[in-house]
Amino acid sequence: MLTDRGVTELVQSGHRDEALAVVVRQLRRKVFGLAYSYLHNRDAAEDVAQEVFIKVWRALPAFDGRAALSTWVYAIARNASLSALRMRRPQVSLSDSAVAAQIDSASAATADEAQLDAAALRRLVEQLPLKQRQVVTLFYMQEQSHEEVAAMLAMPVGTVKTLLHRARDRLRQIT
Amino acid sequence: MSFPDSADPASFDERLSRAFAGLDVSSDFDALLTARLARESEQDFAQRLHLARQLELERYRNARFHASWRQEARALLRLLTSETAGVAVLIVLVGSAVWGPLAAWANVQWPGLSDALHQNAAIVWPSLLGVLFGLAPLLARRLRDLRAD
Repeated sequence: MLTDRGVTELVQSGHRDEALAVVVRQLRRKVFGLAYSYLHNRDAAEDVAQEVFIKVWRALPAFDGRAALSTWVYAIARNASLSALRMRRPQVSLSDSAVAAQIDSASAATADEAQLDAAALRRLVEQLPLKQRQVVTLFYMQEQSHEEVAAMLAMPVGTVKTLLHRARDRLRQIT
Repeated sequence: MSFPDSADPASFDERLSRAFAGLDVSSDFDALLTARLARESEQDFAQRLHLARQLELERYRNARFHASWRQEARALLRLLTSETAGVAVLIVLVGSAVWGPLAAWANVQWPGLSDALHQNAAIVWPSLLGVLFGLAPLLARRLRDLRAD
């Protein structure tokens, strides 16, 4: 695994494409996960992840190494995901009553199934408020590390734990 | 409807893990990214080329402007010879000779002008001489051009 300094040196020596390849290899799944946590759509998340890496490629010469490379990439990914989310759903209503209604309908839609499969469970997670949804998605995607999720969402670890706890409770209530 | 194990936290965690652990980019992600990057790279190269050309053109224009200005100044300095100094002295002499009648006529036409000139003589005369000496090289060049024609 190449360090941030190694990536910076590659860029400075004129090997920007190679530097990007390293970044992609190390952060591909995390950036995709971050985008997926916002959008809950595989294709849209992949598209955003690609856009993020193009932006990273463009901005790599300006990366000064003051922050960790991953922190910098996550910030780009969060902004790109938020933009994509706004473009997709200009008016998102996530009031508790609306969410509860959506969860009820999602549960009802799966009521006839003998067992909720992974896709159905993801659909239920999709109905959670944005932050809870993000935390649940990333926590279970990223090998259950509170610290990693906190770094990706730029949140304190305590907040991640609280959101996760609430999300789990809510999911247990509705299943 | 409920999960069979939804009451058991450990089992519920496992189900959530299974639901999300398999999520990853598609197999052609890298290929698509490489293709997109190639397009971006081409655009980036074209933009940098365009920018470099514009900068070069700007530098060329600046250099040409400064060169022409310097050439003009050098040409004028070359004309500052004894010949042009002579022309300037001649102009001053002619000016002095016609000044008397001209001043009398001007005094009739614009009363008070002569007094104003006398009062500001310290400024007016050196300025006038400066203009005359400055114009001398241009007049000399014009004379040469006329002679050449």
